[in-house]
Amino acid sequence: MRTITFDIDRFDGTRSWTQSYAFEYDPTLTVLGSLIRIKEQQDPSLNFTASCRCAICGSCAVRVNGNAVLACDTRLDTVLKQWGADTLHISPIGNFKVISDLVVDWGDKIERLRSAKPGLKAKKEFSADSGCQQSPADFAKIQKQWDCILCGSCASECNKLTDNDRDFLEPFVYTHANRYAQDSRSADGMVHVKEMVKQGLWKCLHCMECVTKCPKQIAPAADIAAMRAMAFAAGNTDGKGPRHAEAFRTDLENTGRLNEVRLVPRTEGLIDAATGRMGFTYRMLKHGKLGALEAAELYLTDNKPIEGIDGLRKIIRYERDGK
Amino acid sequence: MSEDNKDDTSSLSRRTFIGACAAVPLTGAVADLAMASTADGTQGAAASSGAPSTMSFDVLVVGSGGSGLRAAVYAMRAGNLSVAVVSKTMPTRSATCMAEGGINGVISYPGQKDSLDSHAFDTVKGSDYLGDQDCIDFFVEKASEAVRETDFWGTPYSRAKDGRIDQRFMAGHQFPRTNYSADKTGHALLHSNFDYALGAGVKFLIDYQLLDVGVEDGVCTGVVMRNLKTGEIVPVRARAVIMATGGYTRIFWTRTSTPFIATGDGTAAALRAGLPFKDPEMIQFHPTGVAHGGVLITEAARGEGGYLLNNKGERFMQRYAPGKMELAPRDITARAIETEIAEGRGFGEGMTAYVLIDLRHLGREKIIERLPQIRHVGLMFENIDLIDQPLPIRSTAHYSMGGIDVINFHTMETAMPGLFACGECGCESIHGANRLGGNSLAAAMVTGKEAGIAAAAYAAKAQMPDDKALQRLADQWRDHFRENTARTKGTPFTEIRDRMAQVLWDGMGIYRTEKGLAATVEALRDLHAEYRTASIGNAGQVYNSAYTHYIEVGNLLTLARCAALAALDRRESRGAHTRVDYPKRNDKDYLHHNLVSLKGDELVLNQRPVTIVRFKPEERNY
Ligand SMILES: Cc1cc2nc3c(=O)[nH]c(=O)nc-3n(C[C@H](O)[C@H](O)[C@H](O)COP(=O)(O)OP(=O)(O)OC[C@H]3O[C@@H](n4cnc5c(N)ncnc54)[C@H](O)[C@@H]3O)c2cc1C
Ligand code: FES
Repeated sequence: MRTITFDIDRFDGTRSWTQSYAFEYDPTLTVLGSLIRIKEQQDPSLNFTASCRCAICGSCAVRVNGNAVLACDTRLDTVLKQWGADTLHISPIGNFKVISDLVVDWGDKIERLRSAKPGLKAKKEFSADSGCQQSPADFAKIQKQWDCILCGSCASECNKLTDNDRDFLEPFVYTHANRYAQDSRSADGMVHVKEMVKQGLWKCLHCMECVTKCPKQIAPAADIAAMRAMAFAAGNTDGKGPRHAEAFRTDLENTGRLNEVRLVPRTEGLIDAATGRMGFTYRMLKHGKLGALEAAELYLTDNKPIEGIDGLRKIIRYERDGK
Repeated sequence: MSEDNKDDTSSLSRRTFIGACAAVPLTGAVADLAMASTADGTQGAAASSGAPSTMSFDVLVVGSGGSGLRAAVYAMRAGNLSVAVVSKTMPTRSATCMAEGGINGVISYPGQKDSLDSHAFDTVKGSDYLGDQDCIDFFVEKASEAVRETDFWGTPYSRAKDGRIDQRFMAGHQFPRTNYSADKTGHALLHSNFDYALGAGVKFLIDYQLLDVGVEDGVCTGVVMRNLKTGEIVPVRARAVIMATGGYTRIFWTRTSTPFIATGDGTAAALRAGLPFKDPEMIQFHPTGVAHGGVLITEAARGEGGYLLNNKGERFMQRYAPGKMELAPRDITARAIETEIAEGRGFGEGMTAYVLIDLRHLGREKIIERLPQIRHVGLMFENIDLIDQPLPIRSTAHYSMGGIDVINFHTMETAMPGLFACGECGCESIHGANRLGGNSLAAAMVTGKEAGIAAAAYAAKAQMPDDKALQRLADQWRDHFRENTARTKGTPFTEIRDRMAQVLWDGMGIYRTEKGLAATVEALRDLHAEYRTASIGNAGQVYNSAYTHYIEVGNLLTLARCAALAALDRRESRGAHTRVDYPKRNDKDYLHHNLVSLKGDELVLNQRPVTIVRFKPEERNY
């Protein structure tokens, strides 16, 4: 008999521990099916949540070996093969307050979702009595963002949230904002964008964990990028985030390479960079990540343009100016 | 793999690296944004005062499916009222999000042939003439409005070329009038209503389980709930309560397409508070759900040309519907599958017996292109790839037509002042003995709105009730928790749940007989008694989901007993209710609603005539 072991992170409100449950291998099981089997055959005190068991209600996200999955939509076999082991570590999704075992608290997440200003404010020509008009192409533009099932997987491994969740929101919040920002029925999509600019839109680190983890193949990072582009287009270019993006583009257009030494002062301003980054720069120099002379030279003279820079400039200009 | 790197692979070390970088954000330390993050929804009027006094609201909505959210938004709109929505889960985990097909509502546009009259007639005929016709007339008009209004609120509907909402055909309708959002209409509708409610400032009490309704002098005074996060049992006063807790199809436990939350808690609480449970025997079955767990295999599988096979490899539909074969209507197909199994031509036995659906002849490409969702369900639940193998399936319970007796369909009032009911937990009755596809989302939108408006109007005039009855009830529930979780011996209650499901499937499933139903009534009574001495296996306070489920199973047992009693008494076949011993509809004796009430521990059955307006009952042929 092949035995599978789930090491499950337990929490009863005061005490935390990890408990091992062994059960017989069964190729028909999903991760959720395995949890149900453990609860009903071994330990009724184990807590987790599930409702639809077919990947649409978003209840059942848990971490398997540190990675968020929808338990009902993940076959046991798949994760056993993926990890090459018969013992798996099951824990609640990350960046959430844990209520008990695998159950997390959505109370404050829902309050944070309100900051996306959810709900459509439709254009004047539409009304509650007659509804709206929208072309199939415009519907297609927002369809993906509407697939979000609020399972929390995108937030689970978000590095920015783990570092500091007071100046950044869960990736799904940006996806929510963007679905109204991009909706052709919206009176003013910028309402949502402006709010998101205030709420950390420029702080995403591009680690792409949200994109990797979304069980519905939504790309919250792309929603963030789309709203940044809207902010830019609306002349919202002030602040470190926009300046940072602008600095990237300037570098690429000039030489095709990033000038990391110029990047920081351009983003933060010379004074801020000089005062705020001293320690960091010193550590870089000390560990040989940066040569002092090399840095000075780079700052003064910039990189040499890469081969094929003309082609790259064309692309950038096309993207920016549409020609 | 060593202990140390069990959680660590190359992808994770990348994460560790990025995590470390995050500690030195490139854009520097900026003052933290002040974000609205009130800890949770416990901002009841009295809760903020600090003292452990009773929470109170002007309008309390129990349930956050489509109907509850609509009710809350409309109650808020009345202005100046405190409104909260309670849910035993995070708010979007409802049955509403599972609906795929669409929402019915006639939309007028140049060249439109459909009409409200036609929608009304189809609904009446679909209900097998058990639907109340005045109510259905009201419903079809409001359904049309609701579709346009939800479009305005942001529901992302699929579109026709000219920009209007696209519509599709559903079985039982004469015209395409089902508005949809790809194959996720319920999801789109639920989330757009949720967003709208968030934007409108609706409060949410998350992870609170409704236990009972408080009554004093025949008036609703609020509810008793259990805060799942802490285990606390709390009385909540409310001028008006709107029940929106969904259906009770989980009486069949693993043989239903509905979510785990569909345990009829609100219906059972209303019953205990003295209200009748209307038409409890009317439960709709869908012919195809996966053998393990009942998840829906949509009509598309048969629509695209799938075969149904028995254990002899025969396409058995030729015995039941030689003309239409697998494309026969739902009820005929469901009965055919059960007959094959009953007569020994299925596979397996008991609750997991099944027949097969075979798509192999359609070919790999067509399956991948046209039926990806169904293939995925096969892989998840049975570990079977429909490209290579047929899939075990069986009928599955799908919708509860019965529910809390609503006595005024304009307001969704019940006979108890202050208590309103909407969505699948209420029975007005729109769906009668059989709901048409696409009509339940429409009903959730329509009834939710009307309940919200009427409850707000009622609350604006009503006194805030006192909490005496609620405190008493809360004490009883505290005792209930203590006594029941203390038991360490006894049958595990989940075993009783599984036996209940088996008893009901065999005795009150797709085929019903006098003998079978009488035995079911008996068996349920015994199970209910055994349930009271069953073991729960967890005495903890914090999020004790075993106890949560114990209460749900108790509710299911109560509701199942009502259903069996009514089914026994309905000696005819009508809509979803098929009596082998009475195969014909009998309008002379049974053109009435069944109303089951609880008197002490005894069930009492009464009748009320159906309202007929324009459409005289005739035979229901398609
Ligand atoms: C697989 C599937 C497909 C479907 N397809 C369609 C379709 O295509 N078209 C159509 O019209 N209909 C369809 N339906 C039916 C339709 O989805 C439902 O009838 C409808 O959404 C019910 O909405 P509701 O608001 O009444 O209840 P639900 O959406 O079930 O919501 C009930 C709410 O009550 C809460 N609740 C329950 N008990 C308690 C308690 N004790 N304490 C606190 N809260 C509680 C739950 O948490 C939940 O939030 C389908 C249903 C299923 C299952
Ligand atoms: S249980 Fe609903 S998404 Fe898994």
